[in-house]
Amino acid sequence: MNQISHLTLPEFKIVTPSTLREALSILDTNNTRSKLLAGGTDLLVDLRNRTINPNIIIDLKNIPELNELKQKGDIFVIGAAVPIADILKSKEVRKNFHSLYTALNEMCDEILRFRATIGGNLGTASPAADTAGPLLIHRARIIVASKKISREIPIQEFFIGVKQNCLMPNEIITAIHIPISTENEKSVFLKLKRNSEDLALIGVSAINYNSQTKLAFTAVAPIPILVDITAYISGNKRPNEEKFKEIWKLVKNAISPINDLRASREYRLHMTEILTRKALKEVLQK
Amino acid sequence: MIVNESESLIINVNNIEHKISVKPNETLLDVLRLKLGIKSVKAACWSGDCGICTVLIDGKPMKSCLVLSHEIRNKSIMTVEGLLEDELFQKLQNSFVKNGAIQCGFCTSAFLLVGYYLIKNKRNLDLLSIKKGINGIICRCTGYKQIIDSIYELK
Ligand SMILES: Cc1cc2nc3c(=O)[nH]c(=O)nc-3n(C[C@H](O)[C@H](O)[C@H](O)COP(=O)(O)OP(=O)(O)OC[C@H]3O[C@@H](n4cnc5c(N)ncnc54)[C@H](O)[C@@H]3O)c2cc1C
Ligand code: FES
Ligand code: FES
Repeated sequence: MNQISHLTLPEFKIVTPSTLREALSILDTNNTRSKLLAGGTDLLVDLRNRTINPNIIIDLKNIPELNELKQKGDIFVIGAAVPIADILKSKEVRKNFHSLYTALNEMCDEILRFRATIGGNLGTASPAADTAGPLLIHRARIIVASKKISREIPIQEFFIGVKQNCLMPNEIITAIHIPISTENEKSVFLKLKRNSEDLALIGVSAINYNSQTKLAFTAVAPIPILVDITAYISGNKRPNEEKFKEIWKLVKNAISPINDLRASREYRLHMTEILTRKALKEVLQK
Repeated sequence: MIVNESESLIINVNNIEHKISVKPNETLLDVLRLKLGIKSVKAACWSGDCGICTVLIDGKPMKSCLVLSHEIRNKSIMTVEGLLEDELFQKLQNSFVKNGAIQCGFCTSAFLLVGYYLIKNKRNLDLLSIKKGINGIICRCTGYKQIIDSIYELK
């Protein structure tokens, strides 16, 4: 629950680099005292609540590499600082990554989507991050740079704990790379929430491509979870009840929903099962 | 490299340039209300939930409590004060009055700005896209239907 206790923000300095090099070098020398800023829809709330207290804020929005949105061969590149409202305008995203498009289109609210970014969603690494499930099933790679090296992190290695990711303090996410499938790919994202701008109580993503079927779950474990159920599916067909029970057993072992003020563990488990059934129905054939 | 302690910024609000000294930790909301005295911009949650602090930045609606003042360098800010002479905006104001879309009025500026944005920028504006468009603003008096109708009338 948001409980704002300060009307002002704590004091800090702000840096607005216009190149990635400059940003990385400032971050490298100040990495324990600085925070990166994209859309600020998480960062400013954290600042106001004094859950963070940086000396320097590095505004990433003017860096060209972080603002790319384009197809490069069989990969689609989404710059880490591209506002979600702009990603939603991309025909390629809409056509190729249905579950991601749906998640983005329901995230926050239409006004906040002019500011919020995928880089920021991954930076916060909330267990309920709406982009996480779709990025997991679409086999995204997180492109990360530091002053000395760049690296690519497969999304399934990215989240390591509640609001924790595997970034080093001197690293910046520059882009998200998602392979464009040539196969007939079907994906879906389903989100259970209490009202229109709420965080997910449960997020279920599913994909079927190239005879592989995968599920991803958010808000029901400390980190977003990917479950490969290819072995339980034959001929791209929906599982029968017996097979579904086996799939559900696998899923239930992988997730660990909690009781909190927004929903009970039992309710979350019950609804995860229902949404899993629904998601499989949508991506598999009768 | 720019590291600002407290710096003079030139910001364009309602087509007027202001040179003001701002500290990095001041938000756009702080600058508008406290430095420039623009009180049509309200605040209630200071955390992105209520949308009452919405202004147009380069024509797009954004919640000013979540924008740092230094981010608006070279951008133009519009509040309802800057649109008073605009014909479309006046029509929207009249539509709000006619439809009874204003109760206490606390949320009205924010809804007018978003309504104005929607009418100007969305083709085939239907009721659903208006509902989605205003979804980030809360009206405590809960007169949403009248607000939606007022915008729909001008699409
Ligand atoms: C009212 C409201 C509703 C919301 N609803 C949702 C929702 O429905 N679903 C959801 O998932 N989230 C939601 N959020 C949370 C938030 O909007 C998202 O997480 C958003 O994607 C954050 O992006 P941002 O650009 O604003 O991040 P910022 O606030 O700028 O940054 C967030 C964190 O990521 C780090 N960061 C930013 N960019 C990078 C980068 N390139 N490399 C490394 N680290 C980086 C920052 O240092 C910070 O720690 C909501 C927030 C609010 C206020
Ligand atoms: S005061 Fe800015 S959203 Fe509530
Ligand atoms: S009219 Fe009172 S808050 Fe909307």
